[in-house]
Amino acid sequence: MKAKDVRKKFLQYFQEKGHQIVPSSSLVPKDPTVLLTLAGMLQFKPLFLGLEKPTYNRATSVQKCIRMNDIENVGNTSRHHTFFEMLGNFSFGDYFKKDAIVFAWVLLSNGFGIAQEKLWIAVFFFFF
Amino acid sequence: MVKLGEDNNFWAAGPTGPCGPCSEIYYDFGEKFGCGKPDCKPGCDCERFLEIWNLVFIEFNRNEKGELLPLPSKNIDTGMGLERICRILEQAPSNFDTDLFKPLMDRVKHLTHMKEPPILSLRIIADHARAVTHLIADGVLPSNEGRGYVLRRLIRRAVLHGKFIGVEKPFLTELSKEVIHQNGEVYPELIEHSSYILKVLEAEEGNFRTTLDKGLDLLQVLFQSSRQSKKIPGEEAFKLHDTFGFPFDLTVEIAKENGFEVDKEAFDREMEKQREKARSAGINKEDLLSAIRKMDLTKLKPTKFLGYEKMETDAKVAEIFPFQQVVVLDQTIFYPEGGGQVGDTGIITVGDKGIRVTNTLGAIDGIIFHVVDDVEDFKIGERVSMRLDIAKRKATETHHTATHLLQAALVHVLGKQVKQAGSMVSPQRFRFDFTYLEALTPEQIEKVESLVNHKIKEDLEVEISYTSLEEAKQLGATALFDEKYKDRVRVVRINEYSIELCGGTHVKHTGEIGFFRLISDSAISAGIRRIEGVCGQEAKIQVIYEGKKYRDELNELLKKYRFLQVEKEKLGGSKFLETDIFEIAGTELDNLSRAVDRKDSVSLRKFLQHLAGRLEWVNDRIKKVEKEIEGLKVGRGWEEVAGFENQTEDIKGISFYAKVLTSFPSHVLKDIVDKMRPVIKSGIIVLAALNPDKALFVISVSDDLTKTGFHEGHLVKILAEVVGGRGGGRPALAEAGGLDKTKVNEAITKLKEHLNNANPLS
Repeated sequence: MKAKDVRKKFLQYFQEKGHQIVPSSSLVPKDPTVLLTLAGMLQFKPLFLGLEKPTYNRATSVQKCIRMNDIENVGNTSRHHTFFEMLGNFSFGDYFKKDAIVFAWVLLSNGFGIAQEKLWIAVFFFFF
Repeated sequence: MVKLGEDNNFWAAGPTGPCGPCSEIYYDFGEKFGCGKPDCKPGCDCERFLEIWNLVFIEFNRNEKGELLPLPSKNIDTGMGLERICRILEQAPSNFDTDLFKPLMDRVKHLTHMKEPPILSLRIIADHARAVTHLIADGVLPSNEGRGYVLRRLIRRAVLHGKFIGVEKPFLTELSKEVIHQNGEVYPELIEHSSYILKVLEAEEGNFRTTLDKGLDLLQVLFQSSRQSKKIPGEEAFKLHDTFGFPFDLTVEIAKENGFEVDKEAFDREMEKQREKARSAGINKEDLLSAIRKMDLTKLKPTKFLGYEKMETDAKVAEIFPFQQVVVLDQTIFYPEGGGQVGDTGIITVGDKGIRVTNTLGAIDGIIFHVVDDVEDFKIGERVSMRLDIAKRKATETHHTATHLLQAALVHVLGKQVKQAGSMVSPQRFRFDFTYLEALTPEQIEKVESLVNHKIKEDLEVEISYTSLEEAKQLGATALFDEKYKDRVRVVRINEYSIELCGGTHVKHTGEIGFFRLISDSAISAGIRRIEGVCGQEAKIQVIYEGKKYRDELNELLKKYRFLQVEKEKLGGSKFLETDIFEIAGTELDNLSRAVDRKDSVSLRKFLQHLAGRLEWVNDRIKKVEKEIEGLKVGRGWEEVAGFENQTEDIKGISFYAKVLTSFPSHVLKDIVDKMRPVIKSGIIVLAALNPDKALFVISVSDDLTKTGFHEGHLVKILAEVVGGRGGGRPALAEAGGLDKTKVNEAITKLKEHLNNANPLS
């Protein structure tokens, strides 16, 4: 599957699940605390913090990102980049863990047809 | 399912802001890609597990103190790397083997002659080409700080790796075109700004290549000298950085590539030393200000600034910073450095003692800091009086008002894309930086210059008013892009021609500027140009000085020219007719200062060009005569050796010819020998010249004899030793010189003996 089709399929899938498709924001963020846009969530930060009222409560995007912390790894590994695109889905006080996990699992296994035994999940575990 | 702790599974985009625990989805490539360790699992650094999707359950906001505060609502934020999911779906061995990177890497392969270019460099170039194209499309320009530096660093790394794999020509624009072509549909800003992106890249790559070539040459030398220790001395790395502008991280990178280390500690020490030097020289005002910033300034009120209207005033001492040699007063006439204008200088009088103010700084809570020669006599609460260095202030003002006229003229000539990007005005000159992509043509420069001079001639009033920011905007006032303005802004207005928000000091009428002259136009980074110029009395002095310099230089050249003509005639050359040679007359220099007085920049340029043209003309003539003289000398030498083909001696079967000539420079001797060689096909030729300062030998051995073991280098040494000199040379021709001219014949005899005895391997 070509990159072009992957982007399209991802956005369409979440659109069908009631998500608003939002275009990528600039690599130069409005947020003064970071130098460059490094994740899809950055443009939604005011919504997460409750500083702005969203006109939608579910969104999906393909965000261009730059991360300089991996620059020494670029090329040495098969998986690190400075510039990359992040596919994302977001919920603002709407669905939470359960739906998010189901959405992802169904898209990967049914939508993209990845064998389930190939997929591993790592979760947050806090030792008290 | 694996369980990991906060390092791995708690996500935040930065030290503060929304965050929460997360679940990551990994793809398992199978054991054969793993590290084999028993505890290998998702999160391991090896290539078995690839994190593809991170689901973050955002429930907290981390504040500046590091505390986690619950958010009003529970949110979801997920992110999946497109490059990674594509790799899985395309079943590609790495992200770089997907259709996102392959076409780029293929292009790079076509640009190099290497059969198997190192994959690391191909990957880095492809990766960085994507990053830089998108960065420029989003408005980032290469610079030395912040985002601009990120961009610059990526461009430089890409170019460097291009160099590693033997790409000799600039190549980034070509790759960038591919990125635009590939992604333009998804990111239309790439297409919209495509020509801009390519221009910026072209300029930045071009600039860097020049630096790189120079730096690489120097590094090669360092690799040679450090091949034992495999460590580049930090002092040398610092020199590269300081003198040649070669970035330290690049030195490290190239060194690594060649198996060398760089002594970073020593580099840092050198950096610190330089800072220290700057500090003790008292020019590092940043350090001064940051030291002051650490002091308690809360009890100080903003200093009242009276310097727009007054040149003298009294004031009360409010604070003294003895270590920084800084004094704060309740009010002042000294303009603090700001808005590109340098700080005022002058005298503060305490009692009957005058103390020099060497600079004035501001920018902290409206407090103005006077840097003085000595703080000893100041006492808090005492009254002092002060006086400006008026001449300096006035000169600064001419330059400041001139930059306003310049900006308006640039917009007029080049278009609205011209935006101020910085400026500096001092008593001696001005500098003005602005956004524009190309170098100005000579016509544009001339036009800008004459426009500004025209406005000076009109003697327009410079009006100052205060208004709200809104109103100023409606007037069409230009202001620095991200400068922060208060509610009440100061507007500097010159007729309808120029309206700017500005806190600096200005002349009252444009006529006071006198004259305006541009000195240079250069690029300081891609997309930003710098113009420098000078006004008023300074400009006039400079022009007069330049005219004088032309006259002196021309006079020197003419002397040399006449001397050469005499030499030529002596050698039998044609007679010299002095009809078209003139010195620069005093009246011609007067033309220059008259043009300045008339504010006629167009004529001034013409006059100066004319003078430069005359210099060039004489230089051309000199070159011609020198060539003629050389021809004549070779001809004379040729006469001196006439009949040589029948005058060779036979030494053990070798044809030998030696002759002592009159005075000739070595290149003429060589020319003569070169003419003789084809005639004496096999043999040894020795020519000697008796020059006023020393004896000179040139020796030539034919190719067939060098093959049997005769070496000119050895032979010439024999000659040189006798006359007390040294020799050396290229294989077929060698020369030697010595001081004792009386022994020339003895030297030739010695050489003949040598040939007789030591045949042939000597």
